[in-house]
Amino acid sequence: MNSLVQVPSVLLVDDNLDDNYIHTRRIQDMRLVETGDDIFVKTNGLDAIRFLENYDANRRELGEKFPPRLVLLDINMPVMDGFEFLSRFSDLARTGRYDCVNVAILTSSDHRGDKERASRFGCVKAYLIKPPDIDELRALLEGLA
Amino acid sequence: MDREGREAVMPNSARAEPEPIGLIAAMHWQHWLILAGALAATFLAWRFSAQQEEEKARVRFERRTGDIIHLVRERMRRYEDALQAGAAFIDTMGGQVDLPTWRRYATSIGIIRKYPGINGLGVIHFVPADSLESYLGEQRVFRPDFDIHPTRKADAYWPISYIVPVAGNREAVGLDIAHERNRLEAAQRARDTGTAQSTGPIVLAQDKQGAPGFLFFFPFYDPQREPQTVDERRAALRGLIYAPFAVRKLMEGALARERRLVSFSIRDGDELIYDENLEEARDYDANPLFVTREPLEFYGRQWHFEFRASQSFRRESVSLQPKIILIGGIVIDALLFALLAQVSRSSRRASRQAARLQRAQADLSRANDELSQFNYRTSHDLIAPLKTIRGFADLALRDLARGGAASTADLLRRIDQQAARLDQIVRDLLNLCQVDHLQEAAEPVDLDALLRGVDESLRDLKQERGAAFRWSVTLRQPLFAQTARVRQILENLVSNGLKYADDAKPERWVEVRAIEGARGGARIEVEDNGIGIPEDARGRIFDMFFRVGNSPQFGSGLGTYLVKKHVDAMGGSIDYVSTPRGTVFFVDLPRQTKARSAS
Repeated sequence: MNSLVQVPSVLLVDDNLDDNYIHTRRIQDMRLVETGDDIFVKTNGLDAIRFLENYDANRRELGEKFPPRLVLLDINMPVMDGFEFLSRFSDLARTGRYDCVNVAILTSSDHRGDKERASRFGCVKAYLIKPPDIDELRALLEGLA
Repeated sequence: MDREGREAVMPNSARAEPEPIGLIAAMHWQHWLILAGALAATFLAWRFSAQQEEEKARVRFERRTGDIIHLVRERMRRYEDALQAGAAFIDTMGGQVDLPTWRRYATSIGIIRKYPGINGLGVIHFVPADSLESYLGEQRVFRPDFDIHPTRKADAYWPISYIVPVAGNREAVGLDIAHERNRLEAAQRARDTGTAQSTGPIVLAQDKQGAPGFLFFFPFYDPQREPQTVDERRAALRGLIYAPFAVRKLMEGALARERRLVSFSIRDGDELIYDENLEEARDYDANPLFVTREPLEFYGRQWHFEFRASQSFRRESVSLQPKIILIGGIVIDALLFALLAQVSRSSRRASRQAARLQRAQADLSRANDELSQFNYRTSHDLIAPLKTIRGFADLALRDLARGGAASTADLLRRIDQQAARLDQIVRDLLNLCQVDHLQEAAEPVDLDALLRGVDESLRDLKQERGAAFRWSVTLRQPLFAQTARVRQILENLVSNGLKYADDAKPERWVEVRAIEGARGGARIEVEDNGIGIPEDARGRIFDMFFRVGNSPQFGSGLGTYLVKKHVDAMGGSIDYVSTPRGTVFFVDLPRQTKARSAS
């Protein structure tokens, strides 16, 4: 099942380890990225934002794989939730270095308020309910390519 | 049993006795205003009625006093008439009348019978000094021993010639009234005016008691002349018709004392001539309702009456009406007060009830919100493992499509774990539903056996977390409680201890100790050496869906909530102390001898 679209890397932010396992496998199966190493996994918003903030070092170490082109973001997480991450990330995006980064919310919450709130952030391109439909993900990435 | 049962079915709000509302405190200020108005109206009505009654009494008193003066005056007019008739009789007789004729005259007009109060009817002759001898001669025709007394030398004499009846008046016969100023002055007044005149108060010559009296004079003149002026009268005077009065007898004659309701005294100038106002009198009122003074022109004298209302008058004047109005008004006011107080109290009660209802509604609304939240959280928590299972199953199917892989077994194990989680959540939910409906009777709980069962059921978790579970029971008598509740309490606390075991510690353990508690109850301590509960979680750990770290991996978030509900249902209490070195939960259960049911 080869994908026509491929991105250099994806950031997965979710505290649910089982879900992370599944999503990682999916992304690999779809060949959205080249290898499993191209998927960065963080279990809360704070870890993710720290990873993104560390631009220069990551750029040096990861080359063109950083920053990740797509962030798959859960909403309900300990330490820092998805919304807090989004507002911190919006600040970061103003530097211009993260123009290429898009966010897809990936959550089991179909709370309408959450969806509305998320859509107010310009970087959020999709709101996916777990488990994500393969075609949905693909369409999303094709749009980003 | 009875008490317990009643308590169990009574809603909380009904059990709280409403604190009593003070009668006074409940009154609104408008109510006080109404009451004050009503009291004022009562007082005014009472005053008005009392004034009316007093006015009526005053009118009655004045009528009485008027009647008395009128009667006295009428009586005197009759005496005046009698005296004038005497003068007219002598006139008719040609200016001369002898003793037998006068006696017959006086007797025939019925002096004693018809004129009570009069002592007698007499004739005084005016005797100039030069006529004295002839006068005495005339008198001594019928009365040889007649003489004028007191003996003195004067220009003229005014001797009392006749008096009828003689009995009782003997002293007066022959008395020259000119010997004394008071009598002479009145006699001269009568002579000069040609009218009836009275002396000032005197002691009657015939009165041994010295009681006050007066003489009443009417002049008669020479029948040949009709004198018009004072000088003519002085020249023509022949004598006076006279009557002596004792004031007391006059008044007794004029007025019946009984039922008069008013007593009086009379003064002529400074001299008290009649007095009924005596303290020893039967009807005397020391503090009379009314006292008045009335002057009376009395034949040349000025009399002063002083009237006093008597006790009988007071009795007759006392009307119940003002009192009835006052008492009735006060009774009505009191009823009004009671009514207003009742109304106030009812309205306070109603508003308090309304406030209570409002609170109840707020409680309900909050409960509804909580329920809604509960539904949301629960469905989310139920769906999450299902989604994960589906995700794993999908991956496993893909593996199988590619001919199977080593990861397939791993996926199936993960599916099983998720199913177990789901199982636990559903089990917790079921337990939660039952907390309020557990009807099971209390019984002696075999804690040792129960803990062994808990150990058995948590075997997998123990293995997974690499933690040990041990327990000790040192109760003098078995715990008396509902076994199902105790089991759930222990299962949840112990499994929590295992879940939060600290991987950094080489030995991980959970220990349960059942020991004697306060007042014959039991204390169950559940201790672990796990990661501890963060201090900021204090106060929330028994909340529904509270999870340290809020990770669904750690369970439904209903465990401690469930524990708290069971403990409360048994009338016990739960608390804990926690440090990063570990946590101890203390469950205190009261000594129970009877079933305690929450429903």
